[in-house]
Amino acid sequence: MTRAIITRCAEALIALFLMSAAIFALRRVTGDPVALLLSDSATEADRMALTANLGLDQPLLTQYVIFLRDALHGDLGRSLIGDRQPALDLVLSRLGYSLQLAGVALVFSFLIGIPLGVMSAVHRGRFIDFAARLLALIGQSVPVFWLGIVLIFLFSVTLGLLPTSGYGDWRHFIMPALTLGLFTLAAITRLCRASMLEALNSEYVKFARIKGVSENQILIKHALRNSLMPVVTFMGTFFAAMITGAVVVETVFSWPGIGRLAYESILRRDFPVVQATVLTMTLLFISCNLAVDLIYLWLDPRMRQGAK
Amino acid sequence: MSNDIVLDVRNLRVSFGPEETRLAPVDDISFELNQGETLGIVGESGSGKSTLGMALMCLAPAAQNARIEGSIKLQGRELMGLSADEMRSIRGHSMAMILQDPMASLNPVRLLGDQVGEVITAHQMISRDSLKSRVLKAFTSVRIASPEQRINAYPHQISGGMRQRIVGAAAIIGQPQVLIADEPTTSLDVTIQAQYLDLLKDLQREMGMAMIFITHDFGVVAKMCDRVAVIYAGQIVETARVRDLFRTPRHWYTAALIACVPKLQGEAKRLAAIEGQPPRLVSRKPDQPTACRFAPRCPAADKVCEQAPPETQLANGAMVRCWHPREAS
Repeated sequence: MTRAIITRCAEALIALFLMSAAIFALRRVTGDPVALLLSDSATEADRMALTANLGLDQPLLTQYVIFLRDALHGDLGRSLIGDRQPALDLVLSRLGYSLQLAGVALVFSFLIGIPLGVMSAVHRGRFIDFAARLLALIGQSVPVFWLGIVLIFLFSVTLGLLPTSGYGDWRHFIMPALTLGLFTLAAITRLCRASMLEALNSEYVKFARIKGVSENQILIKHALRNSLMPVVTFMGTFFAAMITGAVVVETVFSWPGIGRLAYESILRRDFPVVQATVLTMTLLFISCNLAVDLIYLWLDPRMRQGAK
Repeated sequence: MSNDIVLDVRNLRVSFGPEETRLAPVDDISFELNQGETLGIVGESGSGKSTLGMALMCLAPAAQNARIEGSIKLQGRELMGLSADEMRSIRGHSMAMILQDPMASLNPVRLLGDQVGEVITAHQMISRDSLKSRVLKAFTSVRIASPEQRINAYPHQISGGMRQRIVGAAAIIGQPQVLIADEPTTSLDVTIQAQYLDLLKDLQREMGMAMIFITHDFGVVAKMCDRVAVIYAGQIVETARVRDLFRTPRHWYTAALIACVPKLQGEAKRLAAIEGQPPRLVSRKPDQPTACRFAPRCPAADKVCEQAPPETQLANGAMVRCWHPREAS
């Protein structure tokens, strides 16, 4: 078991290392930062000096090592805009808002998606099943930005019930979290329904009935745990959907998180900040998948054995 | 004699589908099972054997509009029409069942001890200690070595033969009067098969259970059973004591089945086969008897076989459902 945990952690570190290389490479292909920093009147000498100052005259491998070293020390460069704040500080100051929103959206989609999927499977072919499947279909096919705009139009402009945008009390969370979570909610509902149906048709459920176990106990003790495993597997992917979705949702709702920061930095060609944002998202991503792996070890005894 | 009857099944019918075109995988089956006896139920795949087994536990197939009709009396008590809760207390306790695939019958994410003990905890409050001792006792009686460790193991950690013994432990922990075994050895290795059959026989003797043994293997029938019911397309076509059935099968289908069993003695020949296909599911209304279902494949069939064949009672409690039964030699 301990060994399985260590293996998973090592895998996560390797993934993080590979991603850092990809991010480093991406920055090299987005153009010459020197040309971006200098004014049009800069001389050749100015250009050479800045190149040396930024370490861009070094071989690529050396640059990567320096990049890694700086990154490990928490130095991801400075913003090219305004008072040149450290990029990492900028990202960290926005991260909390994004995590709050993603957290609320994730909890919301799990709290509704799992019971809905389970009930849909248990009452297969009934009204609740039909309603759940319709909701799942809508949730997976409606574009996020469109949903956000429609919600604003409906609840803020027409009904005047909720604030249109920005960060504030709980009412500010409702529409962004709904918009961000709906896709995941739909995915969880479908996944949960399918795996629940599979579990309910399994031989061990049949055998549990033969043993005289009640339907409620069968649901809780036999079917639910098995049917939750695919949901847990996809939790990492769901979180990914939250982070990528955040770029659109945070922009639509003017939410001060890293998604909107990424969007703004790309528009301003503020590459160090874009890089820091992407790296932070990557880190979130990998830690989430690591957490999923660890939860899986706990849920499925077969995995513990396999990793021995 | 009638006091010895543990299970009395009359006109059992399992059907599903829309009213107009209902299909009946089990159609008008009647038999009785005596104390301590083993009744074999033999038939091809799709003949309704397993559906019959589940129906005896009052579990209908997972199909649209599925329905079980007829009468099942367990020690004189009618099971049909019992409430869901009353029926649940019969399952696992008065009647238990073993399924074919032990890997699939056990939940992969739950401890073996819990899955066996569940039979008890499903119906009564019991202290942790006495539950554990009963589970250990059940593990011991199915010859599980070091049961203390096995109760805290998961299904993937033990062998296929041991898994099926665990399933056996779950079946006997409630001390049932009737054990239904649905091809319990089909998915086991041949050597393990023999061990498992011996184990079931021993358990039966120790606990005085009556057993219904569903199989398609005549070797297993010869080893395990006292009487056999041969089932074809959802109906029993012949019932007889094992010895009589092998020596003088009265139904043409039984004779053809036995002819298909390869023999060790004599020269090697092409395996015998029965011409044609068994009918898929047979659909009919209970008041509309139809032709003999085996007639299209039967060498003795004639005009009269278009009428429903009579159930002829023979000596020694045997029965044959045929217009032209084969001669007793």
